[in-house]
This record gives sequence, structure tokens and C-alpha cells, in this order.
Amino acid sequence: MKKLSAAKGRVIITPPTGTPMAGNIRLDNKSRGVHDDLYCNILILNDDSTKICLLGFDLVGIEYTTCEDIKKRIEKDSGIPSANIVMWATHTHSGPDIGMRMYEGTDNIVNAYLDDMTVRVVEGVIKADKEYEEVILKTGKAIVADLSFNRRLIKKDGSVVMNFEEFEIEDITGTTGPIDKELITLSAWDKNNKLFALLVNFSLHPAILVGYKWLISRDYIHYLDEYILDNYGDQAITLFANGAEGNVNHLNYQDPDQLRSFEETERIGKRLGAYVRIAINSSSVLDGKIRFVSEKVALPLRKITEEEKQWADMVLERDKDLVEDMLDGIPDKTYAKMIKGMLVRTDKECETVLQGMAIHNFAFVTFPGEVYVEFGLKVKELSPYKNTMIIGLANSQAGYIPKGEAFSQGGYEVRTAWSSQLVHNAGDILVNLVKNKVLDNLLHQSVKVMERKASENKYLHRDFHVALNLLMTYVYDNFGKDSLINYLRQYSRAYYKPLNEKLNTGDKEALAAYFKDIYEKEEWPVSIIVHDNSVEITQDGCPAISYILKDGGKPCPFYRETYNTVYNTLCENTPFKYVLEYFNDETGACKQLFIRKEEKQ
Amino acid sequence: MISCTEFIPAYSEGFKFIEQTHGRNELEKFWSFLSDLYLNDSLRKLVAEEGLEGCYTYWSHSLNEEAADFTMILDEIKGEFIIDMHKCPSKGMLNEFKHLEPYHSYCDHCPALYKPVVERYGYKYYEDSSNCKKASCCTTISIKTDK
Repeated sequence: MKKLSAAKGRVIITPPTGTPMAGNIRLDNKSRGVHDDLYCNILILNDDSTKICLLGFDLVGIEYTTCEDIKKRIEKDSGIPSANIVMWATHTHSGPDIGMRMYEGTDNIVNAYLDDMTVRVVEGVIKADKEYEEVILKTGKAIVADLSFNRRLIKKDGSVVMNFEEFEIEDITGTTGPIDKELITLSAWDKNNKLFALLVNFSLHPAILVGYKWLISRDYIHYLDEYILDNYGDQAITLFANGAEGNVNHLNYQDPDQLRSFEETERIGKRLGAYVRIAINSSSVLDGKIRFVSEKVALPLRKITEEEKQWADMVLERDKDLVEDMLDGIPDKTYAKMIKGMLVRTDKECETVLQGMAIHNFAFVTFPGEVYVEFGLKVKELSPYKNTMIIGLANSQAGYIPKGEAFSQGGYEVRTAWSSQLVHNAGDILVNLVKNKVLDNLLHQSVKVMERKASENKYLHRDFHVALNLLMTYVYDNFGKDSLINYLRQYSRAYYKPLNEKLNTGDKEALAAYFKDIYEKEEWPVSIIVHDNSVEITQDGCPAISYILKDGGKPCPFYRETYNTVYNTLCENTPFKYVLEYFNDETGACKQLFIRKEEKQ
Repeated sequence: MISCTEFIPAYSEGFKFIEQTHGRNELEKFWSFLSDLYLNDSLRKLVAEEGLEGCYTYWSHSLNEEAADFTMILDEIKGEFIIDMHKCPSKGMLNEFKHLEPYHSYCDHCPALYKPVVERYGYKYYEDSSNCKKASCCTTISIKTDK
């Protein structure tokens, strides 16, 4: 079984109280305190030829430039290649606003937080990178059908409403799409069979709290983590990676009593923990090398239309006195401000990185933003790996990646903003890129085929010298020298029968041709002289002895009998006799003569 | 000198000799000895360190040097390594000798040598030797699903 080792770490990245919060729009957006700490959880996997560093951040998103900065610093100080570092945000809506920066005058606070977080994360990875343990990796899966919901609802009139917006239950006919019911785990177990680290992947917006009570929180992930620690010991580090959660949240539109509360995050987090347990119980060992790919790509940005520009101008005038305050969703005025900001942007594309890792029948692929669940399911369908994680919000914050038809339906994720900035077909573009640049690459690494015709190679396998030496050694050690001689005689009589018959007719040229052929095949220098009545073969060493010694072996005692006995037997019943004039047992240097018996040399 | 290109008949005659003089059990003891020593620094080490990819590395080397006619597949996703031997260079060579009768169960040495090595590291070894006499066989080394 392929040996793997792993290192882990956990860095607190909780922002100071007063840091503006992300994931909700409120005039007073500064955090009041901490319900539970935010972390950057670290898992480094190492199979001696490849080291992959996984970093899961309890943040709403993480910008490409921040990712690249952290990766470069880690590479500089630890040697882990920046391309082999996978970073993602869990997308808690109760963390710091490090990306969109909705409010003016908060840049200094956010920049100071980012600088401090970067330093602590880099130090955390460097520290973790010093302590590896041998681990066994396992992957498991559980089907979760009761915790996540497609949040785009279809009304009787065909229009679409978000499940966090106002609607009458009886007016809803269903949802516009599915959910991803797969919860996939990658677990690392130490030599005492204790959970060393765990990666959990499930598609569900951590937007239960959305800045509830202005407290910093990991949302339901906090309680999921608690469940794992309670059940598997506090040595375990759990990384949560969100999946294709772009249009998936926790709100069951048929349950009007669902609460926005810590009780609800606890219910969902612990229920998810129980599913993780099911996945772990059903998990199987992964045996194989780490296969990895990292590809930089550029995604086309949406062009702001004249209509959007005019709308933004109109809204900014219309709502100039309006106070932006919304927990779920974004007010028109905020959209308008973002559109105005995006108009001055000169970039036509946004850079990001797509990554994938596979071991045995497990794989993960990354998406740079909040991808619709349909695309995640499509990638899983395309993946040859039994358990394929879709890790969203990875390596950059490219915003929502909705399905094309969602743009005509309307709804939250499709409205142009910093959180929805890619072209309408970005999802299709990304699925193709993930297929062609990530999955196909991983498949190429995971499945190797070699096809050969005999005629394509030269027949020369010198290891056979070692095997023959072991055969002779076994016979000699177990049955004695006479048996060794008898074996070599038997071989010689059987194998050299045709040559023996030619020698019997006096055909010394056949003998010379035979030796020329075998030494040529061995690619070994030898002097073969055909005299009138003899054939003389002189060599400075024996190719077999030379190879056995080079391989670290010891030639069998009486290895010289592969000359003496074999060729004396070859000469039986022929006009020739064999003379081994000298033989150096250490090198096999020797002079051999096949002489006509009636002639004296 | 017995050239490495003449090893196969020497091997086959060695099997015959040991069985004729000391019986099949002794021959199997020899194969076990050979498995331990001959494969210790090669296949065993590679499987210990690289798992199924170690099998691919080992046989890539040996089958190419032996000029075999084969298709070899390492499928890490299925957890399988397969050698589809279209023409085994050893058995094929022995079949071509008109004057030399190969050891009657020559192909038995392959599972005897390789199976213990891979099983030691938790893999399953299966050989379809139904076409062995025609120098063709198919070996599958796979991850045990009950691990």
C-alpha cells in the first residue's frame, strides 16, 4: 500500500471586534463580538513525491490576490509549491467583509486584519509542515436529503422568488433545480486508528445567521466541528469545504417556522455531523499516489449594459436618502453602487486557478466562486472517480456562477454585482475547463496503459543472471556440488542438442557463430578466434559475474561450472574437447578452447 | 557462460531437475526462496513504497527488457493493475524449441513468485492461466475491497 503522511494545523483568524461583517448589508455592519472563533484549518498530504496543502478559511470569500499572496509566502518559507496549495472559503455569512468592502472608511481595519491573518496562516502552515505522521486515508459518502434546499422557488405564475424573500407557500409550485445530496468525507487516520484530520464536503450556504446579533461565527460549521471533536477526539482537525452551493441554502420554504438563531445552526451542524459519521462508517481505504493538477485560467467578465448603467443612475437618485439595511439579499441601492464601481473596471477577464486532486477512487475539483448546484452535479457525472468533491469558493471569489436560464428568470444570484460578475455562460465555460484541464489530466495520471509488441524491444534482461545465480546457489546449498554439476549437465544436454549435433559433424564454424551471437546479444567484448583445429575464446570478464556483483550479489561457488560443465557436456560425443585454460572466479576472466581431440595444439 | 538470453531454458531445466530429484514440494520451496530473494529489492520494495504503481514500474522494466508482447494497465481509480500477456517471452520461447520439452508446469512459477509479494502488502493476485500453453495469460493485482 502506498505510504502517505499528513500534517495538520489550525490558526485562529477571528477578526477584532469592530471589523465590518460580510454576507449582509447593514449600515452599522461592525461586529460586536464573537460567538465562535473563525479558523484557517490546515491539512497537508504528502506521498513523498507530491505535497498538497489544503487550507480551509472560515470566510465568506477570499480574493485571488490574497490567495496568491499567501501561497507565494508559504512557498518561500516552506518550499511547498504555491501551485500545490488549495485555498477555499467556507462562505460563512458571519465573518469579516474582506472582499466586497461594502462601506467606505473600513479599508484600514480590513487591510490590517488581512495582513495579520496572512502572517498567522503562513506561520501556521510552516509549523504544521514540520510535523508529519504516517496516515491511512479513507473516503466515505452519506446521502443528506433533509438539510439543504434549492433556494430558487417557482411561483404559479412562472416567476422565480428566492426562498428568503416574501411569498405565500400555496403560491409555490416547486424549485428551479435540485440539490446535491452527497456529503463526502476524506479522513486521515493515525497509526492508533484515531482520526487525525477530516475534510468534509457538502453543498449548503452557511447563511443561517448572516451576522445575527452582530456576532462573528462559523455558522453551522462550528457545531459540525463540535460534533466531530465530541465523537472522534479533540486531536482531530476538521476542514469543511462547501460544494456547489450557489443556489442552495438551509431554508425549507414549506416550514415557515424556521428560525434564524444559533439553535438552528446547532441543529443543522450536529445533524450534518451525524451524516459525517455515517460517511466515515461507510468509508473505504484509499491506496494510491496523490495525483494533482493546478491550472491558471481566465474567466470572461460580464459587460455592464447601458440599461444597467441607466438603472444604477436612476436608483442612486431615487434612493439617495435610503438607508441600506438587509440581512438576506442586497438592496437596490447597493447593487447600483456596485454597478457604478464595476463600470470603471478595465479588466475583461478575471484570473483564477482550477485545481484537482485524486487518490484511488477519490477526487476533488475546485470552482472559483459560488457555483450553481447543477454544475456541480454535472462535474460529478463527468468524473470517473467514485467520490468527487466539488470545492467551491476556491482560490478566488469570482462570485455567483448561475445557470444561463437563471438570467431570464431573475433572482438574487444573477443580478450584476461584485458577487455576480462573470458572463452568463461562465458555468458552462467552467464545466468544460474542469473537464478538460482538471478531470482529464487527473484521469491521465490515474490510469496508465502500456502496449508493446515483442518486435518493439530488444531481448536483453540482465536480471536473469541474478535469477540463474540464485537457482544455482539453491541447488548447491541444498543438494551439494554434484547436484549442481548434474543440473548443468542436464541443461546442457537438453539445450545444446542442435549445436552438439553440428559439432558432431565437425562444424566448428557453428560453434564460433553461436558464441559470437550470445556475446553480441550480451553486448560484451570477447575475442573469438577460429583456428584450423580449434576455437579460442578469450574474455576479460564474465558478463554474468559482472552483473551479479553489480547487483550486490555473490556468485554461486563453482559458478565457473557454467563454463566448465556446460561446455564439456556440449562436447560429449563430438570430435571436440573443451579446455578451460584459466578462469578467474572473481571476474570470470578466462580463456576457453574447443579443440579437435585428434589434434594436439 | 549461460547468457541471460539463454536463461529461460536453464530455468525450465532447473525446475525439472529439482522436481525430478527432490519432488514438487522442493520446487515450490525453491520458488519461495526465489520470491524472497530475487524480488526483495525490486518488486517487494516498489510495492511497499509505491503500491500498485510499484507493480507498473517493476513490470515496465522487466517486460520491456524481456521483449514481451503485452498490454499493461494501471487503473488507480479501480485499484487494479493488469498485465494482459499476449505472448509471454518465456513460455513463447520454450514453445518454439523443437528439441527441448519445457517443464510441464512452467507457468506455475509466476504466481508462486509474485503472489506472496503482493499479498504481503494487502493486494489480491489473480491469474487467468487458461491460455498458458499458448504463452498467453492475464494477471490482475488489485486492492482488496474488504480493506
